[in-house]
Amino acid sequence: MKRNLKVVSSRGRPETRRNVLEINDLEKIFHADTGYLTVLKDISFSVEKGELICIIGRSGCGKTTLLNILAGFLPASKGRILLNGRPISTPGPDRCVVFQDHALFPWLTVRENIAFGTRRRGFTKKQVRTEVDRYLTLMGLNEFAGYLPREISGGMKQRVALARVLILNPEVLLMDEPFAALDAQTREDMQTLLLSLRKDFSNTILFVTHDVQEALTLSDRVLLMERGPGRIRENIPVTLPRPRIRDSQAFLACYRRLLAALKDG
Amino acid sequence: MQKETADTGLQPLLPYVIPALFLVGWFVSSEFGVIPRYLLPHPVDVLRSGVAYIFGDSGQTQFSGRFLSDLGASVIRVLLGFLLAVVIGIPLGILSGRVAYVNRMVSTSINALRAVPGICWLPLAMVWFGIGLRTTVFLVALAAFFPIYLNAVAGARQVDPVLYRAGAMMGVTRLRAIFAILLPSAVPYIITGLRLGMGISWAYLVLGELTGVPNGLGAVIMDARMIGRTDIIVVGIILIAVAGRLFDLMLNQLMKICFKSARRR
Repeated sequence: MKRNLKVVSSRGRPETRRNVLEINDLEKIFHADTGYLTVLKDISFSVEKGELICIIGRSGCGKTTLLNILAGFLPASKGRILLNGRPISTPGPDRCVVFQDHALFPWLTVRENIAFGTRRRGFTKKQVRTEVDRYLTLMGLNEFAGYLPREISGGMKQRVALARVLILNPEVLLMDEPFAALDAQTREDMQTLLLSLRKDFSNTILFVTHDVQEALTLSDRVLLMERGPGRIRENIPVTLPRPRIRDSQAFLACYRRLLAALKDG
Repeated sequence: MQKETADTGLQPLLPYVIPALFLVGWFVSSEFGVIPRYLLPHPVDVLRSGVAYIFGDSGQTQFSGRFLSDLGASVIRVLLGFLLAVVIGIPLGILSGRVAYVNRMVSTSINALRAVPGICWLPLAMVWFGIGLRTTVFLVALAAFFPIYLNAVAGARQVDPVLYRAGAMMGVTRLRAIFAILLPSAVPYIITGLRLGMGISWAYLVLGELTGVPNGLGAVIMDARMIGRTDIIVVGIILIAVAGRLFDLMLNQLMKICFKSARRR
């Protein structure tokens, strides 16, 4: 079933109004011992350049599976994914993931973790150093450059995880409940950081979450997923003005509506 | 709280408490004739024989002047056998830990072989390789292989799969991932295997040298037994203990030089 894909972007970027990502009729079937399990069905949507889309749904609706397929970690059973018109199947630096549990290399320092991907991108040593320094400053991690992941807090780890992919300038940034494991205050700080980074970066972001407030705070558009099998039930443009104020009437109205819709799923 | 200063003051001596107590006990029991000298010689006699063996000129006493050639021969046998075990054990272990098919193919055979006590191979090895270098190297390699292999398997298995995904999205190919992700992550396990293997190498060195080779630390012990020189036997035992410990330390240092993940454990 084709959804209405017309999008009202609150950011208004007329010059970049083109689809970066097109997903057509995606399906994912897992082969379990007892038979087949259809996890994703009829997934079709497209994403414009620079958009921040939140994929929201209850646990088990297949949103992480969808992200893993987009990242190239899992093959789709059916359907097509086009990135700038080219089909994708394997992981690559054009689609980077920020994982829920940071997935930093524990034997590398903060600086080395951020520099990890640059080794394979033809940067000179000096370029790597200046670039990493820039991201350390951007993320407020300057003092922690020499620390190991186990020596820093959860919020800092996610900032490192964000920095190590932003430095590669991926076309699409895939974020898999990246702030779900953080405490409320840190989560809010990270959301603010992410939004402030969007002023400098034009990366397209797909952000998986189960937190309605997070989705409304961040996104230009929300894709609401339902379970059994996972489908996209609603494609909701978020037209709230930015910066979003969480206790404004408009925000709360949106929040209640989206929460009700989520509960139906 | 414990008194930190008192602790740190005495702590460096802690490893030597047991050897010192042992020496005192040995000295006292020898002085008072609790143990007859033909069973366990007086420590002073052992010291004298040891000095003559290590520093004496050739021909001064029966064993003097042999030390360097004995040590050289033993070290070469240990290193050759150990390196052979490393060269086969680590790649096979990593392959086996990473690729399920390889593991299914080799694990039964390897575990069956592992059940055979190494000493069983001695008669066969003597038939195959004669007496000397090759038999000893064979025995050492065979014995050291198992701990090295098994720990490499365990190390390769415990790598968090999300790290491979993180690597893949940052452009690390499957082959490169072995060196960039698998090895650093498995290094603590590999070190354990190498240290166990090195210890076993020294044990099987002596086994190989007991068969009548002309030189080596094990050969000295055997020669001394033939003519009833228990003092030289004790000297040989102590020298093997010292050499084994030194090799263990060197191995550990070498791994720390080679791998960040070993330094930052």
